Amino acid sequence: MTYRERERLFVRLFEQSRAGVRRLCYSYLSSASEVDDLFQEIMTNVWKSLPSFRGEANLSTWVYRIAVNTALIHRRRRRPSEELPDMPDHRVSTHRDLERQQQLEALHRAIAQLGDQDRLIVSLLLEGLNYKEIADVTGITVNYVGVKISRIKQALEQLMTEVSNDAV
Amino acid sequence: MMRFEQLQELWQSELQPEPPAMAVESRGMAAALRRFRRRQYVINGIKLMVIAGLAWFLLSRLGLSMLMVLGLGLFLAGLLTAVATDWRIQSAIARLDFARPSAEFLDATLERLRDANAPFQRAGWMAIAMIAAGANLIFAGPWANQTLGSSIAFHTAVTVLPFAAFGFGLKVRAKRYAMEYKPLVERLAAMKAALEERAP
Repeated sequence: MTYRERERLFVRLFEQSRAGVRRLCYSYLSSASEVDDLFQEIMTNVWKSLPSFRGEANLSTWVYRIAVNTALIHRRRRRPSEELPDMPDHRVSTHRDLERQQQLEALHRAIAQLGDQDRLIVSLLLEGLNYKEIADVTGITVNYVGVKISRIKQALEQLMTEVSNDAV
Repeated sequence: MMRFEQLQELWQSELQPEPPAMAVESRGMAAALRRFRRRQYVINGIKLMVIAGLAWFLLSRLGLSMLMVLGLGLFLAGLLTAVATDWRIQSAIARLDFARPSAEFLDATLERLRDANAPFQRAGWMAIAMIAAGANLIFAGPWANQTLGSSIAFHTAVTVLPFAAFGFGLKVRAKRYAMEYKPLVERLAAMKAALEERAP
């Protein structure tokens, strides 16, 4: 792979995956500044790993692998329970937007209460990856991904109810 | 209660702020990586230069008897083994394969981090033994005319010093490891266990 090809592929990957990767960072970390650091670190690792990309995996799955592994060894400056995610500053214009924003905040609060692994797995599921793709990213079997996800879904739905009740 | 599909739709609708401009600067990233690798090369290069300087100093000051050449060879081989072992471990940590599935990635990362705690093992003690033996041979000539007592004291010091320095180095390394790596190793081990826990 020449430098030009590498750069072109990187820019393409960056454009395709930045929203998903940043959402994954938000589900894993506790503040916006840390998300920027982790995102930067993930993209650095994507750039660094590009020459070894052989095309065996789907490109987006490959990027998620790097994102998840980078997140796993990323050192957080604070404990996860100390601070809840700084949500992006959206301009809320309508009642519907406000409601949606509250639901999103509740979802983030609920995800923040899950364990590290579960948070990453549920983010991949919320991003729309199927069981096989999640198994490819995490290295566990498809069956076990199914078991884990059904547990996480239950936990998340219960947490969402608790978080919504707390908000009321 | 919201269904999971609704949560998924909600999640994917979230707009994220633009990442910092420097994140897209791939040339900048490549430069950062080059800087990191260059720093490793510089540190290890300095170690090699110190070894070469030491070799030159000993050769030019002590002359070239067979015993000294043999001693110098052992001494340098021991130093080079120690530097090379350390260099290999640093490089392994710097070259983690992030594109592997997480379970394999965690395995490899844990193995490399644990290696950093006990980098030398048997090879390290052998390298130190070579350094001590080499130093004794190098100084065997210059101390040949001294009294037996002072000669024994000198060679005991020359033998003990490398082992003492190595032991001290291992203690410093263990302290650094406990501060820098141990929490990470414990967290990764817990994650690995969580990832691989048996389904009921």
